[in-house]
Amino acid sequence: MNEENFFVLFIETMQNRWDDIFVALQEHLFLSFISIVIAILISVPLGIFISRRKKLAEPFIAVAAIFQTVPSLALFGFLIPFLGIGNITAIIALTVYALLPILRNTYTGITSVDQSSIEAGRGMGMTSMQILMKIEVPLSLPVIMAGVRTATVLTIGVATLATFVGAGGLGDIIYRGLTSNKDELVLAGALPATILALGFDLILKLLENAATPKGVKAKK
Amino acid sequence: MKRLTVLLLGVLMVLAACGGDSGSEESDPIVISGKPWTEQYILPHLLAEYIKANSDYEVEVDAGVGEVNILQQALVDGDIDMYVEYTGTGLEAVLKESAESDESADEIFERVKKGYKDEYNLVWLEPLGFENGYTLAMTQETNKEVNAETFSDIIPASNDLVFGGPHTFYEREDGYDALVEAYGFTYKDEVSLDPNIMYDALNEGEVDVIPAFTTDGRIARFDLATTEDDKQFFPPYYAAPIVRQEVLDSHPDLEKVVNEFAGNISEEEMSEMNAKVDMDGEEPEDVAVEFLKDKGLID
Amino acid sequence: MITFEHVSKKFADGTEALKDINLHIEQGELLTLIGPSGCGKTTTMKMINRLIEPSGGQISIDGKPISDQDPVELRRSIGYVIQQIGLLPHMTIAENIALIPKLKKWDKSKIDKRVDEMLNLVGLEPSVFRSRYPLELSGGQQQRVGVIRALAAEPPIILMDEPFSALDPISREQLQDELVKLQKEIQKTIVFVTHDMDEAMKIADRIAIMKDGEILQLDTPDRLLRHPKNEFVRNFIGDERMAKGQAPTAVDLMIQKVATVKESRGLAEAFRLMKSERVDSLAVTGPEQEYKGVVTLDQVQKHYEGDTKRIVDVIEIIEPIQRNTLYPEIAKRFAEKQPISIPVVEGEKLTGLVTRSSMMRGLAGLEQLGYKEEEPLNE
Repeated sequence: MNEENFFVLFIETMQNRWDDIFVALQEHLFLSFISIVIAILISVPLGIFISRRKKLAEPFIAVAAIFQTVPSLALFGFLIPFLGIGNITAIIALTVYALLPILRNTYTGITSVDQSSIEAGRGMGMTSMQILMKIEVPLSLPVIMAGVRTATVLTIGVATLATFVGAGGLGDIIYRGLTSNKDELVLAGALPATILALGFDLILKLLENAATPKGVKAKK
Repeated sequence: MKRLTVLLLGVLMVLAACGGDSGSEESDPIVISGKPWTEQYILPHLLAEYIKANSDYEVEVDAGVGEVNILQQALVDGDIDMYVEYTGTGLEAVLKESAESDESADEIFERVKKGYKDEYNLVWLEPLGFENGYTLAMTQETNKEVNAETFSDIIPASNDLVFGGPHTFYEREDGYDALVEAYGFTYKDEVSLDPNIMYDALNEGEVDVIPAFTTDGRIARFDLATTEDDKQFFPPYYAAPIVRQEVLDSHPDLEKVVNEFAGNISEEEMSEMNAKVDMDGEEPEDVAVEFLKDKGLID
Repeated sequence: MITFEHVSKKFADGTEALKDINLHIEQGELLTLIGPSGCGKTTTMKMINRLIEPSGGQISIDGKPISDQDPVELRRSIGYVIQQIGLLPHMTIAENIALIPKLKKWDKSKIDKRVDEMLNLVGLEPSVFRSRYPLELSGGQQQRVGVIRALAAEPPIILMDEPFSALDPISREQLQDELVKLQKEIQKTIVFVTHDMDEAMKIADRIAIMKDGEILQLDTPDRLLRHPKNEFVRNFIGDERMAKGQAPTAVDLMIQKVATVKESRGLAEAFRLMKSERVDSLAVTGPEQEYKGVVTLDQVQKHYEGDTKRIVDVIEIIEPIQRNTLYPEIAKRFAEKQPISIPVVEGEKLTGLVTRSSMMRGLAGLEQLGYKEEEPLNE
């Protein structure tokens, strides 16, 4: 099949199958988004917690790292006997996968905040919560955002495997194309997934810049 | 000297890449493939063991390569030599034709045989003796509500039902879209599933209706309710080996040997073999050998 | 205003940082805590705002024990300035200064006014510096902000932990001068930790010299120079500084090799000795070099007839002076009593002799080190 033909076929496929693709896109967004949000809700407080108890830091981060080292498909597979198939399984697998970058960056961010700022704050009469919210979090936010960014791109990619646990997403389209030997369909699933990942990466990069306190950027 | 080595390596790599040639010689092993699900893991071994026992030919099994579109391409490219296909699939998915309502299964067989030979130079050998068609299956519990015996009975209840099928089912010409159109189903949702977890999904309630294979051992073992294709949407699906003409030419006894094997497997027997793998955890190869021995087809 | 009673501190690893600290800091005074590293000066200071808690003893402010107060509230009423400055880099200068007032929920307009007031106090033009960020300022400017940040909420007490040590020498000197000037205006109670004796001398009302968790001496700079309690303190202050700042002592002005004679000896011997040593007086010592008195040529000649007389019969008692007696006092003695010489003792032992000429010599030598005579010699 020559390139021109393929290109035409691809465009046609995008047009004809748009309904399916759009549904898959929505499912993909849903799975990715929920998983990232849950991962943030777990990892950021946890990261703050272990920054206060450095002895716990290593074991916690090590566990998150193990989760991430498990090949993503295998992770989905492990969960099936316990949780069955469907969205819940997919979300749990994706969340677990996204924990490490966010956890590690939160920990690193908070522990690398200049101690003299914290000491000055404490000496002047700020409570621990005030120090956390007014000093530690604002100063570590850029690093945390970078972790979220990494996790997001990762999650969107791995979410293509959700199809194997019957949770839908763009993986459906890709895999349908693979099994029916229709390359144009594969691309029709892969391309939106790629654009999604790039798009979020860009948005989060802008957020990361916005989160960097002006004073820190203004370094001479 | 270094330049020469690099050049040599380059040439070797190109030659290796060119390697899968479409030609065939008697000394080449016959490669039998199949689809990535239980019945199709067993069938290549049945054929392979039988051929080996009854000829001097070398046979290799390369199982689970892919669904019809991939296998078809692989045959045409010469990457595989033989696999077992179903007449209905060949007709609708490959030849892209539809069955006439008054055509008999034999007529369809002949049509497919001719079509494959003319278009692809692929040969359909004699049917193995069983049909593996589609039934829409539900759990007994679901069917208490739906109360269906035929596909049409499902129509009114389909609003509340979630359909789950393999990825290819949605892409085949004889698949989901055509089925829905033919019957007017209005399923609440459709889920793409790997065929191997389809049954688990059904039992867990993640999906309500699946297009199950009639010879799937799990139907009996899970006590699923099956329904009949009353509008004859699906064509007959008689199982027969298809093989490349070149291989038949280079292996003159092959056709005779395989056709001797024809007609030896009934639906019940296939279903039981499937169940042994799916439910009892036996290996497809062992189940195949056991069957052949029990039937005295090999020693 | 701030009182330490028998305060001790032992850290978890067993280090005894403070042994038995008793201290009273007056309202409005600038007290510096100084000593070698590990002496406990920073620990002492940090106990005032309860960043470190004592293991024993009690600290009170205005009579109220601080252990009864909420530490956070306490700290908000005490200014705190640290060596690394610690301005929050993500906040503007104005926001940094306003930090505690904001926590204390001051009125916004009150805060704004105060911020401008503070910036003016240290010569940083508000319109320029309010919206700048710490990292855009020089070290000296940053620490000025550090200081006014501590002052912003009008605390009566300010703690400063080596605040100028990390700055370049010029900024350091400027800020020391500014602090002295500021203190004249604001009269806060300031506890200032430093390891720099010059700095302490320059700014302090009183200095506490610490070593190994104890206060060795707590005095005004002047008294410290004149009456260092022991060798360590002396050395810590440094001879140079003493020479620069205070009057010389007998030690600096005396002859060390003194011609001595035992009191049981006869006059002829005395005479002979004086002749050979070319002196006109001898110091009379006992068997263990303890000072007994002086015998002059005059006296010897007067009583020479009559073989029987011994030194002990003609001995004159000139009251000796201790080693660390200051020059002005010595000069006064010469003027008033007109002795030939004044013996110098350490305890009871004779260590030297001060004569007019040795005194002159001593003064001349010290002048080279920068000593300036404040009181004229009255002879």
